[in-house]
Amino acid sequence: MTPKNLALALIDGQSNEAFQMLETLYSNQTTVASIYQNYVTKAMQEIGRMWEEDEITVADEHLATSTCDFVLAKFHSVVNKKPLTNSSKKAMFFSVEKEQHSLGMKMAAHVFEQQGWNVRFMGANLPLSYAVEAAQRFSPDVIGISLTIIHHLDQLKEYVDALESINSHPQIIVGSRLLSSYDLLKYASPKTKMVSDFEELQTWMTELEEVKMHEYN
Amino acid sequence: MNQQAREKVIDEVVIEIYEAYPEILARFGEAGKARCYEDNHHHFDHLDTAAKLGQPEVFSNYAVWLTNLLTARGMNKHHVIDNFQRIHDRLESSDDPQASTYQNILLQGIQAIQ
Repeated sequence: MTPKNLALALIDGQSNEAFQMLETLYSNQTTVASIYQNYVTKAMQEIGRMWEEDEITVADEHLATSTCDFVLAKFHSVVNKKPLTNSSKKAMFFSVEKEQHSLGMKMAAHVFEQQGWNVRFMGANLPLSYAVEAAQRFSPDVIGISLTIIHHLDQLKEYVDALESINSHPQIIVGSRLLSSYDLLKYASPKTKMVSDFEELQTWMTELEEVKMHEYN
Repeated sequence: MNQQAREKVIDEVVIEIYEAYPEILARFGEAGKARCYEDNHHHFDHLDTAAKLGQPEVFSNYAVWLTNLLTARGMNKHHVIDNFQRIHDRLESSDDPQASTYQNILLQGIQAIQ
């Protein structure tokens, strides 16, 4: 199976076929982070390229995106997850106001949930005041912010500053396809973690958990 | 750039384009003209963001992306350059304080696709 096969199944709305592809990879011991990075993300990038090259229409691209969304939810439901406990760490995810893209953030949220974190996925287009209020109630250890469109970048600093200063002092992580072209750190804070790869995210989470365990011991 | 200054430039540029290339009205009709307005607003959205962030490459990256998109659909990169150049020239007489910043950003965008 290649990312191109997956892309073609998604463009054709073949959710069962696409799901089978992911499940086969998972059965063959491919890590979920690798499946998200090397197959799903690559397939979606290929779909973007095909639209740019006029090989598919806007409608095809929309069908592929909604099919991918469904397939990811179904795949997440069959993947092994560490059980939640009272000491499970907490993470919340959302996209900044007006940002409508959410697939990447959804996969990041799944990676955390599979690792036994208590996760709240708040979807796309969340205004800052609601994000702050939700974070104050939930007290997360990690807050994942997603943005895809360059016009939304100037909001990032305000989100990072407001959310870093809430009582639980969460670690802010930012996921964005813009990371490949722009230095986003200047729109965040020195403490902000930029994530452009799910395997890197998985490694970082493991290190974070080891540090926390060390602190508790 | 304020909305009024933006719309003035766009109105002038679209009129100029349709005067210079009357065949596009025959080929694409009024829907094509509406699309031309829409495209010019996209150009300004990227100029606004590039200026706000102080990163002209935001516009240059958009220019390259747009050119690839349009050439894949049978258009020529010179249409894009022509459009950007007309915005640049119209900004010359604009009294908006950001006009010259936008002109510089446009020139870098043109250079990126030439």
